[in-house]
Amino acid sequence: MSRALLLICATLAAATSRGDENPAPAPPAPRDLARELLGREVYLRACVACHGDHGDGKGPGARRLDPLPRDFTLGVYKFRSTASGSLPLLDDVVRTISAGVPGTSMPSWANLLSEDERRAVADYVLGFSPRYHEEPLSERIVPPLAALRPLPATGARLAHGKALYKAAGCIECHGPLGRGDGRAAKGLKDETGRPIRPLDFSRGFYKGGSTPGDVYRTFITGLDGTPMPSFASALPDEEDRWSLVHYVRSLSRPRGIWSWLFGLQTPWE
Amino acid sequence: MDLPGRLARFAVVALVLAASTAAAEPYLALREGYLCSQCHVNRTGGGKRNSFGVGFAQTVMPLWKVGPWDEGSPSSRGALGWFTDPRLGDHVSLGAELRFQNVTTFAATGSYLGQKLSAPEANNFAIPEGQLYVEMSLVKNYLLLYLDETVAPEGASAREAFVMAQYPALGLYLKAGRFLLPYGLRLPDDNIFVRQVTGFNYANQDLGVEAGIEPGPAFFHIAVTNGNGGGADNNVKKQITGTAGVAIKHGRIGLCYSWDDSSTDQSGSTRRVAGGYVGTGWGRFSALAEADAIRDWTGPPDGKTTPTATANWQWAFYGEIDLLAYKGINLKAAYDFNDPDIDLANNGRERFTLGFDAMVLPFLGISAYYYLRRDIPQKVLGNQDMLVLQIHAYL
Repeated sequence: MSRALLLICATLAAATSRGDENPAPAPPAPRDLARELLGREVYLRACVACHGDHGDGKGPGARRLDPLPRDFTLGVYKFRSTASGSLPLLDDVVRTISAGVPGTSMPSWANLLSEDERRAVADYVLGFSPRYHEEPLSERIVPPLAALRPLPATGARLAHGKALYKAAGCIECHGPLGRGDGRAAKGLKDETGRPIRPLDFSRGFYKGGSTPGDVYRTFITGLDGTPMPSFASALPDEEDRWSLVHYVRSLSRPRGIWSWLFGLQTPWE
Repeated sequence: MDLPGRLARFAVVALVLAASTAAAEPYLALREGYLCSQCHVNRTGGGKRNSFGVGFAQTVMPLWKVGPWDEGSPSSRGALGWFTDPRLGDHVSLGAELRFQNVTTFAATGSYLGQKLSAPEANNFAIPEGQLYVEMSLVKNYLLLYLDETVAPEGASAREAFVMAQYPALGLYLKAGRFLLPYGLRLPDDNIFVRQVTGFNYANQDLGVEAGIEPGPAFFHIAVTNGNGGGADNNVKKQITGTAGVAIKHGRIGLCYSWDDSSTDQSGSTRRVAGGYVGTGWGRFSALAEADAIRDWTGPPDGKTTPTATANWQWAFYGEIDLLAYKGINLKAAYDFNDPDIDLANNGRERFTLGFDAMVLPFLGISAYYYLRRDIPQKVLGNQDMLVLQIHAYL
């Protein structure tokens, strides 16, 4: 018995030390049936109306929604902290469930579902895609929000960000004032061939979150399934990245009473 | 008892009974760009919320979501935290609606043939609506049984009871049983003139079949029913009621018509109602309006004019502007008009409405509305202003 324990400890220690030298994705956790059942129960009650029984985004309430609910079976996720084309981390999906997606019908579930429930249902949602069962866990390429150290927004960085906004091609889709009206904005399509509009930054919300760290993450990872690419390679320098983050955020501005009355997004969402 | 005294007593009873309201708020659908069926089991709106509606009521609508003070100990909430799901197993889902209100009816004066009329101020508590909903899924997503039972303020009675077959991918459905007729905006207050004088309101249902389809942005609903407001009919002719329209993200337009020759009245009374509605929603702002013309005919069935035949045309209009002042708090201003006989001059009645709905918590709202009412001087009851304070609990 003690020998078996020693063997397990030794194996774990070896795995840990190997991980320290050359960080590798953690092995998948063993199945937790209670957690799976909880995830299924939460999904069937809170998510199924839009995302459907089979996670294909074809729930009974989906037909009239714009944009349509995500099809989880494709295994394509916009909001990730992993590399473009890879599956998200569990934490990424939990973040989306908790915060919701502003500008869409996906609400925030932070106050209605406990942390355990959100994690369980996130796991259940990921499981709809065969990729989740076949591929190794993805690597995080953007640190967690709390670990990010944003460079301060200075006038020089904003000016630099403005130049990068043009040079990196953001202007082509999002337009000179960030209103989603760039030259290439028309005719854009998502991964299913449906028309998709570039985000209008001036409305004051960002689908992946509005903090500097959220916008930073979106630049680095891109939004899979949309024409928004990853800028991880194009902008390797932190100075450039944060300059662009601050400039893009500066494009969000109140537009007066008409915007307050008729704006498509209310600030609390 | 003198005439003013009788009028006053009648006014109290009539106003309390007439302050009948029900679920469904078209401004919400307009603001979000949804059809009624997005949130309600009944494809034409009102009544029990479906699973999307239950989620919407807990996530998008309320001023405060329940739960932040319990965030540290979610496990104490059981399997589903603070999310409320009224399903019993896979096949049965429940819902409920209760409105409790205090109605202040202000004093008014008038005159008739030289006699002064008056109606005193009154104040009453009332339950204008108490419903219990049961939805049974017979074949998931395709066949359901729906019961909408009135349980208050009086004895139990079925408001709606139907079986509905549907094909969700096309928005196609066929309904058979007792149901609200598909005409006009399903407004929450039966006293709104377009609902009151057309008779298409929560107090009137009918027996028959209804079919509908929602291809793309269009929608069509048609019902064939016994007619005569659900009362005795002539068992020969039926009432046909239909609505067709287009709904896009920021607006909708609909046309409605009802043809009813089903009266048992031997003199051959018939009714035709035609109308239309429009609505738009942009951000915090939404507006909607409906206009209806009603022709009541009493005379030979062939429509020929005789000395005893009478035809009455009336029309009604309703317009509403809504502003989402803050999350969960909606300000509303509305105007009602009804000309009960277009052949008579100066006999119209009006109602101005100003107030707010506050969805304070998931499934709990409060509202306060002031109604400025104007009618001809001899109809003193129609000139009494009202203040209605209401608590609305629903699931």
